[in-house]
Amino acid sequence: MDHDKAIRKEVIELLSHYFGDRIRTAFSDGYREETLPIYVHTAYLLLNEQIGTAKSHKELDHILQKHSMTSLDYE
Amino acid sequence: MNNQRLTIGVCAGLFIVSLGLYWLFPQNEMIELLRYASILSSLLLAFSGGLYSIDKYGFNSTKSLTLILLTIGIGCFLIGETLWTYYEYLMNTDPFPSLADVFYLAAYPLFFWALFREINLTKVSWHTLSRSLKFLLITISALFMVVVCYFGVYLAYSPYETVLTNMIAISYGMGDVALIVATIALLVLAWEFRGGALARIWMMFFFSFMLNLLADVLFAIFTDAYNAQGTFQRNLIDTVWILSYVLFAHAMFSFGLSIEAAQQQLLKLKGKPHKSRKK
Repeated sequence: MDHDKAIRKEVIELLSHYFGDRIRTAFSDGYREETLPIYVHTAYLLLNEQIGTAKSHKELDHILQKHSMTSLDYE
Repeated sequence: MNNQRLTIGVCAGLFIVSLGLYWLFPQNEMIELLRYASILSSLLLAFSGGLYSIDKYGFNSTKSLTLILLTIGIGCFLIGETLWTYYEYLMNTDPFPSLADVFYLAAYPLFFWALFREINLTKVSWHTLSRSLKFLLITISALFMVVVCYFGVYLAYSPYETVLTNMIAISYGMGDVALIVATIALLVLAWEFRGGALARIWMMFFFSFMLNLLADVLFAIFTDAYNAQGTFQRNLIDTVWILSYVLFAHAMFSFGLSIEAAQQQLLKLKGKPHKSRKK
């Protein structure tokens, strides 16, 4: 669990590094970090899909569900 | 040396070599040929940057169409410049108006489409911009449009030229006017992604397009001096265009490099080797 939490934190930092304050706002708006279903595979795909369009946690959730990514590991 | 530093090195190196060719060496046949080569090289580098980033993003990504439009746009500039060189240097004829203008002008709607598509996709929060900032953006846009309209449209018209020549000449000015709006909007795009790598890339595009506009305005003002060759005005205008293209190249490469770097870091998090770039 701690390992997953650390990975989630790093993934959010990476996405924030790319998309800046925009994604930080989306992540911080209503999300608690431990419930955020971001995993490596998700983030990998989402970087390609310009997750920067998400402006709120609802939109972020919609994008995540669109990719059916919850706890999927990368292959 | 990582790829980002290599890109910066190549772009900076090309610009420095160009500076030397234009400002340190007197005009002769070899230097003239190398000057043409430096403009074409900077455009080729920008085009290569576009192809590189399209490869990294793939064709199914949200951003792909934007990258494709920008790449085709700079590709049109490359073809136009190649034709211009062919007419002026090899054939020793006046390259205006010619087939080169078709390609130069074709780039404008592509750039416009790409930038406005990106602004639309990002869903910019216009309502969160302060009134003073909106006023400043509108004022700056209006000022640039007045300058470009005067030098690029009004002065471009000549009663001694044919209708076709006047239409082509005025089209450049109108294209620049339209591009001003898109370029200023890039500032808002960069603001939306502030603190991130994307913001820096959009700012590079902003400066690239602004420099291109500046060179276009200077060309409209000093057309005769430019066509005379070897003049201070020609050297200055070509230098500004080259800087614009080199910045464009760096921005295009940065799209692909930054997403590749982020993806590789994500893969490292899981401790797996990098097998494929995209799904």
